Amino acid sequence: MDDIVRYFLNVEIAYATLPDLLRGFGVTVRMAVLAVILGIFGGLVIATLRAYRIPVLDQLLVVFMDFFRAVPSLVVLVMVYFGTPYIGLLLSGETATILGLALVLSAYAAEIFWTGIKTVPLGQWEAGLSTGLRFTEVLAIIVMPRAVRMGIPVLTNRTIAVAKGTAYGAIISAEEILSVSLSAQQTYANPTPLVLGALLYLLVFIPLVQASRWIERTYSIRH
Amino acid sequence: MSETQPLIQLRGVHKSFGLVQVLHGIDLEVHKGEAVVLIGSSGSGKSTVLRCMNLLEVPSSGSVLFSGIDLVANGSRLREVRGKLGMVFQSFNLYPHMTALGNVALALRRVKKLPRAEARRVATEALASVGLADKVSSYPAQLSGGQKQRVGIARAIALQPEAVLFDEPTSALDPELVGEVLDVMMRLREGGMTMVIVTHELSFARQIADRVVMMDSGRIVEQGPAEQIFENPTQDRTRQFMRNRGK
Repeated sequence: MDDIVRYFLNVEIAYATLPDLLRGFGVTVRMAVLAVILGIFGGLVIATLRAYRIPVLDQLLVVFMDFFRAVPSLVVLVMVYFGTPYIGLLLSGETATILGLALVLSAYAAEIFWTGIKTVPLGQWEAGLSTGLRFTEVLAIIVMPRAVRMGIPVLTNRTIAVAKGTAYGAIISAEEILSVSLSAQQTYANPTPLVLGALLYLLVFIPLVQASRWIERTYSIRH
Repeated sequence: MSETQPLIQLRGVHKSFGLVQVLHGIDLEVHKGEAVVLIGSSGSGKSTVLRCMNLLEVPSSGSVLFSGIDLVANGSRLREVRGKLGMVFQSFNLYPHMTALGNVALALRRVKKLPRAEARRVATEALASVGLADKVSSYPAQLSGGQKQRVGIARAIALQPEAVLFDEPTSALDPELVGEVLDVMMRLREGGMTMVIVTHELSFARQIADRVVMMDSGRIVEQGPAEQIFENPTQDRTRQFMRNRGK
Protein backbone atom coordinates (compact mmCIF):
# COMPACT_ATOMS: atom_id res chain seq x y z
CA MET A 1 0.00 0.00 0.00
CA ASP A 2 2.84 2.37 0.91
CA ASP A 3 4.45 1.61 -2.42
CA ILE A 4 1.26 2.54 -4.26
CA VAL A 5 1.14 5.89 -2.53
CA ARG A 6 4.85 6.52 -3.09
CA TYR A 7 4.60 5.70 -6.76
CA PHE A 8 1.22 6.98 -7.82
CA LEU A 9 0.17 9.50 -5.21
CA ASN A 10 3.48 11.06 -4.24
CA VAL A 11 2.60 14.42 -2.68
CA GLU A 12 6.08 15.95 -2.92
CA ILE A 13 6.44 15.17 -6.59
CA ALA A 14 2.87 16.28 -7.25
CA TYR A 15 3.61 19.59 -5.58
CA ALA A 16 6.83 20.03 -7.53
CA THR A 17 5.32 19.26 -10.91
CA LEU A 18 2.00 21.05 -10.42
CA PRO A 19 3.04 24.44 -11.90
CA ASP A 20 4.18 22.84 -15.16
CA LEU A 21 1.10 20.65 -15.28
CA LEU A 22 -1.18 23.62 -14.76
CA ARG A 23 0.55 25.37 -17.64
CA GLY A 24 -0.08 22.24 -19.71
CA PHE A 25 -3.72 22.34 -18.61
CA GLY A 26 -3.98 25.88 -19.93
CA VAL A 27 -2.53 24.80 -23.27
CA THR A 28 -4.97 21.88 -23.55
CA VAL A 29 -7.93 24.12 -22.77
CA ARG A 30 -6.79 26.81 -25.20
CA MET A 31 -6.24 24.29 -28.00
CA ALA A 32 -9.57 22.58 -27.39
CA VAL A 33 -11.55 25.83 -27.33
CA LEU A 34 -9.94 27.24 -30.47
CA ALA A 35 -10.13 23.97 -32.40
CA VAL A 36 -13.82 23.59 -31.54
CA ILE A 37 -14.74 27.18 -32.45
CA LEU A 38 -12.81 27.12 -35.73
CA GLY A 39 -14.01 23.61 -36.56
CA ILE A 40 -17.71 24.33 -36.08
CA PHE A 41 -17.48 27.67 -37.86
CA GLY A 42 -15.60 26.03 -40.72
CA GLY A 43 -18.24 23.32 -40.94
CA LEU A 44 -20.99 25.95 -41.18
CA VAL A 45 -19.18 27.76 -43.97
CA ILE A 46 -18.61 24.56 -45.93
CA ALA A 47 -22.19 23.35 -45.56
CA THR A 48 -23.53 26.75 -46.62
CA LEU A 49 -21.28 26.78 -49.69
CA ARG A 50 -22.48 23.31 -50.60
CA ALA A 51 -26.07 24.52 -50.50
CA TYR A 52 -25.29 26.77 -53.48
CA ARG A 53 -24.12 23.79 -55.54
CA ILE A 54 -21.32 25.70 -57.22
CA PRO A 55 -19.75 23.40 -59.83
CA VAL A 56 -16.16 22.34 -59.18
CA LEU A 57 -16.14 23.97 -55.75
CA ASP A 58 -18.80 21.53 -54.59
CA GLN A 59 -16.72 18.54 -55.69
CA LEU A 60 -13.64 19.99 -54.00
CA LEU A 61 -15.59 20.45 -50.77
CA VAL A 62 -16.72 16.82 -50.90
CA VAL A 63 -13.09 15.71 -51.35
CA PHE A 64 -12.11 17.87 -48.37
CA MET A 65 -14.87 16.44 -46.20
CA ASP A 66 -14.10 12.84 -47.14
CA PHE A 67 -10.35 13.27 -46.68
CA PHE A 68 -10.43 14.81 -43.23
CA ARG A 69 -12.98 12.36 -41.95
CA ALA A 70 -11.10 9.36 -43.28
CA VAL A 71 -7.56 10.18 -42.19
CA PRO A 72 -6.88 9.56 -38.48
CA SER A 73 -6.61 12.80 -36.49
CA LEU A 74 -3.08 12.01 -35.34
CA VAL A 75 -1.95 11.60 -38.94
CA VAL A 76 -3.55 14.94 -39.85
CA LEU A 77 -1.69 16.66 -37.01
CA VAL A 78 1.61 15.10 -38.07
CA MET A 79 0.99 16.11 -41.71
CA VAL A 80 0.19 19.69 -40.72
CA TYR A 81 3.16 20.04 -38.38
CA PHE A 82 5.80 18.44 -40.60
CA GLY A 83 4.32 19.46 -43.95
CA THR A 84 3.69 23.19 -43.53
CA PRO A 85 7.40 24.21 -43.46
CA TYR A 86 7.52 23.05 -47.10
CA ILE A 87 5.03 25.75 -48.03
CA GLY A 88 6.85 28.38 -46.02
CA LEU A 89 4.79 28.15 -42.82
CA LEU A 90 6.52 27.47 -39.52
CA LEU A 91 3.83 26.49 -37.03
CA SER A 92 4.32 25.77 -33.36
CA GLY A 93 3.13 22.42 -32.07
CA GLU A 94 0.20 24.14 -30.43
CA THR A 95 -0.87 26.00 -33.59
CA ALA A 96 -0.48 22.89 -35.72
CA THR A 97 -2.64 20.95 -33.27
CA ILE A 98 -5.36 23.59 -33.32
CA LEU A 99 -5.27 23.81 -37.12
CA GLY A 100 -5.26 20.06 -37.64
CA LEU A 101 -8.11 19.42 -35.23
CA ALA A 102 -10.10 22.32 -36.68
CA LEU A 103 -9.75 20.81 -40.15
CA VAL A 104 -10.98 17.44 -38.91
CA LEU A 105 -13.90 18.89 -36.93
CA SER A 106 -14.91 21.18 -39.80
CA ALA A 107 -15.18 18.14 -42.08
CA TYR A 108 -17.43 16.31 -39.60
CA ALA A 109 -19.43 19.43 -38.79
CA ALA A 110 -19.94 20.17 -42.49
CA GLU A 111 -21.29 16.67 -43.03
CA ILE A 112 -23.61 17.03 -40.05
CA PHE A 113 -24.93 20.44 -41.11
CA TRP A 114 -25.27 19.37 -44.74
CA THR A 115 -27.30 16.34 -43.72
CA GLY A 116 -29.45 18.68 -41.65
CA ILE A 117 -29.98 20.97 -44.65
CA LYS A 118 -31.01 18.06 -46.83
CA THR A 119 -33.42 16.81 -44.19
CA VAL A 120 -35.41 20.03 -44.08
CA PRO A 121 -38.52 19.27 -46.18
CA LEU A 122 -38.66 20.74 -49.66
CA GLY A 123 -41.97 22.32 -48.72
CA GLN A 124 -40.15 24.72 -46.40
CA TRP A 125 -38.02 25.93 -49.32
CA GLU A 126 -41.09 26.20 -51.55
CA ALA A 127 -43.07 28.16 -48.99
CA GLY A 128 -40.24 30.65 -48.54
CA LEU A 129 -39.49 31.02 -52.24
CA SER A 130 -43.19 31.32 -53.14
CA THR A 131 -43.44 34.45 -50.97
CA GLY A 132 -40.59 36.05 -52.91
CA LEU A 133 -37.73 35.40 -50.50
CA ARG A 134 -34.25 35.00 -52.00
CA PHE A 135 -32.53 31.61 -51.89
CA THR A 136 -30.01 32.99 -49.39
CA GLU A 137 -32.79 34.35 -47.18
CA VAL A 138 -34.60 31.02 -47.16
CA LEU A 139 -31.33 29.24 -46.37
CA ALA A 140 -30.34 31.60 -43.58
CA ILE A 141 -33.69 32.24 -41.91
CA ILE A 142 -35.72 29.10 -42.49
CA VAL A 143 -33.43 26.18 -43.30
CA MET A 144 -30.15 26.62 -41.40
CA PRO A 145 -31.71 27.11 -37.95
CA ARG A 146 -33.50 23.80 -38.41
CA ALA A 147 -30.45 22.07 -39.88
CA VAL A 148 -28.22 23.18 -37.02
CA ARG A 149 -30.69 22.18 -34.33
CA MET A 150 -31.17 18.80 -35.92
CA GLY A 151 -27.42 18.21 -35.88
CA ILE A 152 -26.79 19.12 -32.25
CA PRO A 153 -26.69 15.63 -30.67
CA VAL A 154 -24.33 14.23 -33.27
CA LEU A 155 -22.28 17.40 -33.34
CA THR A 156 -21.70 17.54 -29.57
CA ASN A 157 -20.55 13.91 -29.56
CA ARG A 158 -18.18 14.49 -32.44
CA THR A 159 -16.86 17.71 -30.89
CA ILE A 160 -15.89 15.93 -27.69
CA ALA A 161 -14.17 13.19 -29.66
CA VAL A 162 -12.14 15.66 -31.71
CA ALA A 163 -11.33 17.83 -28.68
CA LYS A 164 -9.77 14.83 -26.97
CA GLY A 165 -7.37 14.80 -29.92
CA THR A 166 -5.55 17.67 -28.23
CA ALA A 167 -3.61 14.90 -26.46
CA TYR A 168 -2.10 13.96 -29.84
CA GLY A 169 -0.41 17.35 -29.70
CA ALA A 170 2.14 15.67 -27.43
CA ILE A 171 3.56 13.95 -30.52
CA ILE A 172 4.15 17.24 -32.30
CA SER A 173 5.63 19.06 -29.30
CA ALA A 174 2.60 20.99 -28.13
CA GLU A 175 3.19 21.45 -24.41
CA GLU A 176 -0.15 20.20 -23.25
CA ILE A 177 -1.07 17.96 -20.33
CA LEU A 178 0.17 14.65 -21.72
CA SER A 179 3.50 15.91 -22.95
CA VAL A 180 4.21 17.79 -19.70
CA SER A 181 3.24 14.87 -17.50
CA LEU A 182 5.33 12.46 -19.59
CA SER A 183 8.45 14.64 -19.21
CA ALA A 184 7.82 15.04 -15.51
CA GLN A 185 7.42 11.30 -15.18
CA GLN A 186 10.73 10.76 -16.93
CA THR A 187 12.47 13.42 -14.84
CA TYR A 188 11.31 12.00 -11.50
CA ALA A 189 11.07 8.33 -12.58
CA ASN A 190 7.70 8.35 -10.89
CA PRO A 191 4.22 8.02 -12.43
CA THR A 192 2.52 10.49 -10.07
CA PRO A 193 2.59 13.26 -12.71
CA LEU A 194 0.70 10.95 -15.07
CA VAL A 195 -1.98 10.42 -12.42
CA LEU A 196 -2.17 14.16 -11.95
CA GLY A 197 -2.36 14.58 -15.73
CA ALA A 198 -5.25 12.14 -15.93
CA LEU A 199 -7.10 14.11 -13.24
CA LEU A 200 -6.50 17.32 -15.16
CA TYR A 201 -7.93 15.75 -18.32
CA LEU A 202 -11.05 14.85 -16.35
CA LEU A 203 -11.20 18.46 -15.24
CA VAL A 204 -11.28 19.54 -18.88
CA PHE A 205 -13.57 16.96 -20.34
CA ILE A 206 -16.15 16.20 -17.71
CA PRO A 207 -17.43 19.79 -17.82
CA LEU A 208 -17.39 19.54 -21.62
CA VAL A 209 -19.46 16.38 -21.53
CA GLN A 210 -21.93 17.95 -19.11
CA ALA A 211 -22.13 21.13 -21.18
CA SER A 212 -22.89 19.05 -24.25
CA ARG A 213 -25.64 17.20 -22.41
CA TRP A 214 -27.16 20.50 -21.34
CA ILE A 215 -26.99 21.83 -24.90
CA GLU A 216 -28.66 18.69 -26.23
CA ARG A 217 -31.41 18.90 -23.66
CA THR A 218 -32.11 22.57 -24.23
CA TYR A 219 -31.71 22.98 -27.96
CA SER A 220 -32.17 19.75 -29.78
CA ILE A 221 -35.42 18.99 -31.50
CA ARG A 222 -37.62 16.61 -29.64
CA HIS A 223 -39.59 14.22 -31.83
CA MET B 1 -62.93 40.80 -70.87
CA SER B 2 -61.05 38.90 -73.58
CA GLU B 3 -59.36 42.09 -74.71
CA THR B 4 -57.66 42.70 -71.38
CA GLN B 5 -54.38 40.92 -70.81
CA PRO B 6 -54.77 37.84 -68.66
CA LEU B 7 -53.13 38.00 -65.25
CA ILE B 8 -51.67 34.51 -65.55
CA GLN B 9 -51.01 32.72 -68.80
CA LEU B 10 -49.61 29.34 -69.68
CA ARG B 11 -48.79 28.91 -73.39
CA GLY B 12 -47.89 25.57 -74.87
CA VAL B 13 -46.49 24.33 -71.57
CA HIS B 14 -44.95 20.88 -71.59
CA LYS B 15 -43.37 19.40 -68.50
CA SER B 16 -41.41 16.20 -68.08
CA PHE B 17 -39.83 14.78 -64.98
CA GLY B 18 -37.01 12.71 -66.38
CA LEU B 19 -38.58 10.36 -68.89
CA VAL B 20 -42.13 10.88 -67.66
CA GLN B 21 -44.09 13.56 -69.49
CA VAL B 22 -46.59 15.05 -67.11
CA LEU B 23 -47.97 18.00 -69.08
CA HIS B 24 -48.75 17.93 -72.80
CA GLY B 25 -49.15 21.36 -74.31
CA ILE B 26 -51.18 23.28 -71.72
CA ASP B 27 -52.79 26.58 -72.75
CA LEU B 28 -54.52 28.28 -69.87
CA GLU B 29 -55.46 31.83 -68.97
CA VAL B 30 -56.56 33.30 -65.68
CA HIS B 31 -58.06 36.78 -65.74
CA LYS B 32 -58.06 39.26 -62.92
CA GLY B 33 -60.99 38.71 -60.61
CA GLU B 34 -61.62 35.12 -61.72
CA ALA B 35 -61.79 32.05 -59.54
CA VAL B 36 -60.53 29.13 -61.62
CA VAL B 37 -60.72 25.61 -60.22
CA LEU B 38 -58.67 22.75 -61.63
CA ILE B 39 -60.20 19.31 -61.20
CA GLY B 40 -59.22 15.85 -62.31
CA SER B 41 -57.95 12.53 -61.03
CA SER B 42 -54.66 12.16 -59.17
CA GLY B 43 -51.87 12.24 -61.69
CA SER B 44 -53.81 14.37 -64.12
CA GLY B 45 -51.21 17.13 -63.81
CA LYS B 46 -53.36 19.75 -62.15
CA SER B 47 -50.92 20.46 -59.31
CA THR B 48 -48.07 20.68 -61.80
CA VAL B 49 -50.02 23.25 -63.82
CA LEU B 50 -50.57 25.31 -60.67
CA ARG B 51 -46.91 25.09 -59.65
CA CYS B 52 -45.84 26.26 -63.10
CA MET B 53 -47.69 29.51 -62.50
CA ASN B 54 -45.18 30.68 -59.91
CA LEU B 55 -42.38 28.66 -61.44
CA LEU B 56 -41.97 26.24 -58.58
CA GLU B 57 -41.98 23.88 -61.54
CA VAL B 58 -40.11 25.14 -64.58
CA PRO B 59 -41.74 24.06 -67.85
CA SER B 60 -39.67 21.85 -70.13
CA SER B 61 -41.01 24.00 -72.96
CA GLY B 62 -43.60 26.70 -73.43
CA SER B 63 -44.04 29.97 -71.58
CA VAL B 64 -45.49 31.18 -68.32
CA LEU B 65 -46.57 34.80 -68.19
CA PHE B 66 -47.70 36.99 -65.32
CA SER B 67 -49.17 40.34 -66.34
CA GLY B 68 -47.41 39.82 -69.63
CA ILE B 69 -44.00 39.17 -68.07
CA ASP B 70 -42.40 35.98 -69.35
CA LEU B 71 -41.17 34.35 -66.15
CA VAL B 72 -38.74 31.91 -67.72
CA ALA B 73 -37.09 34.58 -69.88
CA ASN B 74 -37.04 37.21 -67.12
CA GLY B 75 -35.54 35.37 -64.19
CA SER B 76 -34.65 38.65 -62.50
CA ARG B 77 -38.30 39.55 -62.13
CA LEU B 78 -39.34 36.21 -60.66
CA ARG B 79 -39.00 37.30 -57.05
CA GLU B 80 -41.04 40.41 -57.73
CA VAL B 81 -43.78 38.32 -59.34
CA ARG B 82 -43.75 35.77 -56.54
CA GLY B 83 -44.38 38.60 -54.10
CA LYS B 84 -47.60 39.25 -56.03
CA LEU B 85 -48.67 35.58 -56.28
CA GLY B 86 -49.52 33.92 -53.01
CA MET B 87 -49.48 30.16 -52.59
CA VAL B 88 -51.19 27.86 -50.12
CA PHE B 89 -49.89 24.31 -49.84
CA GLN B 90 -51.52 20.96 -49.17
CA SER B 91 -49.11 20.26 -46.32
CA PHE B 92 -49.22 23.84 -45.01
CA ASN B 93 -45.42 24.27 -45.03
CA LEU B 94 -45.36 26.60 -42.05
CA TYR B 95 -41.93 27.43 -40.60
CA PRO B 96 -41.88 25.34 -37.42
CA HIS B 97 -39.45 27.49 -35.45
CA MET B 98 -41.54 30.67 -35.80
CA THR B 99 -44.85 31.67 -34.30
CA ALA B 100 -47.92 32.21 -36.46
CA LEU B 101 -47.09 35.92 -36.38
CA GLY B 102 -43.49 35.22 -37.34
CA ASN B 103 -44.57 33.04 -40.24
CA VAL B 104 -46.81 35.75 -41.66
CA ALA B 105 -44.47 38.67 -40.93
CA LEU B 106 -41.29 37.20 -42.42
CA ALA B 107 -41.98 38.04 -46.05
CA LEU B 108 -43.50 41.39 -45.06
CA ARG B 109 -40.17 42.38 -43.57
CA ARG B 110 -37.85 40.85 -46.10
CA VAL B 111 -39.75 41.16 -49.38
CA LYS B 112 -42.00 44.15 -48.79
CA LYS B 113 -39.28 45.70 -46.61
CA LEU B 114 -41.76 46.84 -43.98
CA PRO B 115 -40.29 47.96 -40.66
CA ARG B 116 -40.76 45.49 -37.83
CA ALA B 117 -43.68 47.22 -36.09
CA GLU B 118 -45.55 47.75 -39.35
CA ALA B 119 -44.97 44.15 -40.38
CA ARG B 120 -46.33 42.93 -37.05
CA ARG B 121 -49.42 45.08 -37.48
CA VAL B 122 -50.15 43.86 -40.99
CA ALA B 123 -49.47 40.26 -40.00
CA THR B 124 -51.79 40.53 -37.01
CA GLU B 125 -54.53 41.91 -39.25
CA ALA B 126 -54.06 39.08 -41.72
CA LEU B 127 -54.31 36.50 -38.94
CA ALA B 128 -57.38 38.23 -37.56
CA SER B 129 -59.00 38.12 -41.01
CA VAL B 130 -58.73 34.32 -40.98
CA GLY B 131 -60.05 34.12 -37.42
CA LEU B 132 -56.75 33.52 -35.64
CA ALA B 133 -56.20 36.77 -33.76
CA ASP B 134 -55.83 34.79 -30.53
CA LYS B 135 -53.17 32.48 -31.99
CA VAL B 136 -50.55 34.99 -33.05
CA SER B 137 -48.01 33.72 -30.51
CA SER B 138 -48.67 30.05 -31.09
CA TYR B 139 -46.18 27.81 -32.80
CA PRO B 140 -47.34 25.56 -35.66
CA ALA B 141 -46.96 22.47 -33.48
CA GLN B 142 -49.60 23.90 -31.15
CA LEU B 143 -52.16 24.43 -33.89
CA SER B 144 -54.73 22.10 -35.42
CA GLY B 145 -54.54 21.29 -39.12
CA GLY B 146 -57.30 23.73 -39.97
CA GLN B 147 -55.59 26.47 -37.98
CA LYS B 148 -52.27 25.75 -39.64
CA GLN B 149 -53.79 26.05 -43.06
CA ARG B 150 -55.50 29.31 -42.11
CA VAL B 151 -52.07 30.62 -41.04
CA GLY B 152 -50.83 29.50 -44.44
CA ILE B 153 -53.60 31.51 -46.07
CA ALA B 154 -52.83 34.54 -43.88
CA ARG B 155 -49.17 34.23 -44.86
CA ALA B 156 -50.15 34.32 -48.52
CA ILE B 157 -52.67 37.18 -48.32
CA ALA B 158 -50.64 39.42 -46.00
CA LEU B 159 -48.51 40.40 -48.97
CA GLN B 160 -51.66 41.65 -50.71
CA PRO B 161 -51.05 39.51 -53.76
CA GLU B 162 -52.80 39.94 -57.07
CA ALA B 163 -53.78 36.28 -57.04
CA VAL B 164 -53.55 33.30 -54.70
CA LEU B 165 -52.76 29.75 -55.81
CA PHE B 166 -54.23 26.92 -53.71
CA ASP B 167 -52.69 23.46 -54.10
CA GLU B 168 -55.23 21.01 -52.63
CA PRO B 169 -55.60 23.15 -49.52
CA THR B 170 -57.89 20.76 -47.65
CA SER B 171 -56.62 17.37 -48.81
CA ALA B 172 -54.45 16.86 -45.72
CA LEU B 173 -57.13 17.88 -43.25
CA ASP B 174 -59.42 15.79 -41.11
CA PRO B 175 -62.97 16.14 -42.50
CA GLU B 176 -64.25 18.20 -39.58
CA LEU B 177 -61.53 20.79 -40.10
CA VAL B 178 -62.13 21.26 -43.83
CA GLY B 179 -65.08 23.60 -43.38
CA GLU B 180 -63.19 26.34 -41.54
CA VAL B 181 -60.64 26.55 -44.35
CA LEU B 182 -63.26 26.56 -47.10
CA ASP B 183 -65.10 29.35 -45.26
CA VAL B 184 -61.96 31.48 -45.26
CA MET B 185 -61.43 30.79 -48.94
CA MET B 186 -65.03 31.73 -49.75
CA ARG B 187 -64.71 35.00 -47.86
CA LEU B 188 -61.50 35.73 -49.72
CA ARG B 189 -63.36 35.14 -52.97
CA GLU B 190 -66.19 37.41 -51.91
CA GLY B 191 -63.58 40.10 -51.36
CA GLY B 192 -62.75 39.81 -55.05
CA MET B 193 -59.43 37.93 -54.88
CA THR B 194 -58.26 36.21 -58.04
CA MET B 195 -57.84 32.54 -57.14
CA VAL B 196 -56.59 29.41 -58.84
CA ILE B 197 -57.55 26.33 -56.87
CA VAL B 198 -56.68 22.67 -57.25
CA THR B 199 -59.11 20.66 -55.19
CA HIS B 200 -60.98 17.40 -54.80
CA GLU B 201 -63.83 19.15 -52.98
CA LEU B 202 -66.26 19.19 -55.91
CA SER B 203 -69.24 20.76 -54.20
CA PHE B 204 -66.99 23.57 -52.98
CA ALA B 205 -65.55 23.90 -56.47
CA ARG B 206 -69.02 24.31 -57.82
CA GLN B 207 -69.81 27.05 -55.29
CA ILE B 208 -66.66 29.11 -55.67
CA ALA B 209 -65.60 28.72 -59.28
CA ASP B 210 -66.25 31.08 -62.16
CA ARG B 211 -64.56 28.60 -64.42
CA VAL B 212 -63.76 24.93 -63.98
CA VAL B 213 -60.92 23.27 -65.84
CA MET B 214 -61.11 19.48 -66.15
CA MET B 215 -57.74 17.78 -66.62
CA ASP B 216 -56.73 14.24 -67.46
CA SER B 217 -53.34 12.69 -68.23
CA GLY B 218 -51.59 16.04 -68.56
CA ARG B 219 -54.11 17.63 -70.89
CA ILE B 220 -57.04 19.98 -70.47
CA VAL B 221 -60.10 17.95 -71.34
CA GLU B 222 -62.51 20.85 -71.20
CA GLN B 223 -63.16 24.06 -69.37
CA GLY B 224 -66.15 26.30 -68.85
CA PRO B 225 -68.52 27.82 -66.31
CA ALA B 226 -68.99 25.66 -63.21
CA GLU B 227 -72.64 24.95 -63.95
CA GLN B 228 -71.87 23.76 -67.44
CA ILE B 229 -69.02 21.47 -66.46
CA PHE B 230 -70.95 19.90 -63.64
CA GLU B 231 -74.37 19.68 -65.31
CA ASN B 232 -73.61 19.36 -69.02
CA PRO B 233 -70.07 18.27 -69.65
CA THR B 234 -69.31 17.91 -73.33
CA GLN B 235 -66.53 15.35 -72.95
CA ASP B 236 -66.90 11.69 -71.99
CA ARG B 237 -63.89 11.87 -69.70
CA THR B 238 -65.53 14.67 -67.72
CA ARG B 239 -68.80 12.77 -67.52
CA GLN B 240 -66.96 9.71 -66.29
CA PHE B 241 -65.10 11.73 -63.66
CA MET B 242 -68.33 13.26 -62.36
CA ARG B 243 -70.09 9.94 -62.33
CA ASN B 244 -67.29 8.29 -60.37
CA ARG B 245 -67.67 10.93 -57.73
CA GLY B 246 -71.42 10.66 -57.51
CA LYS B 247 -72.06 14.03 -59.05
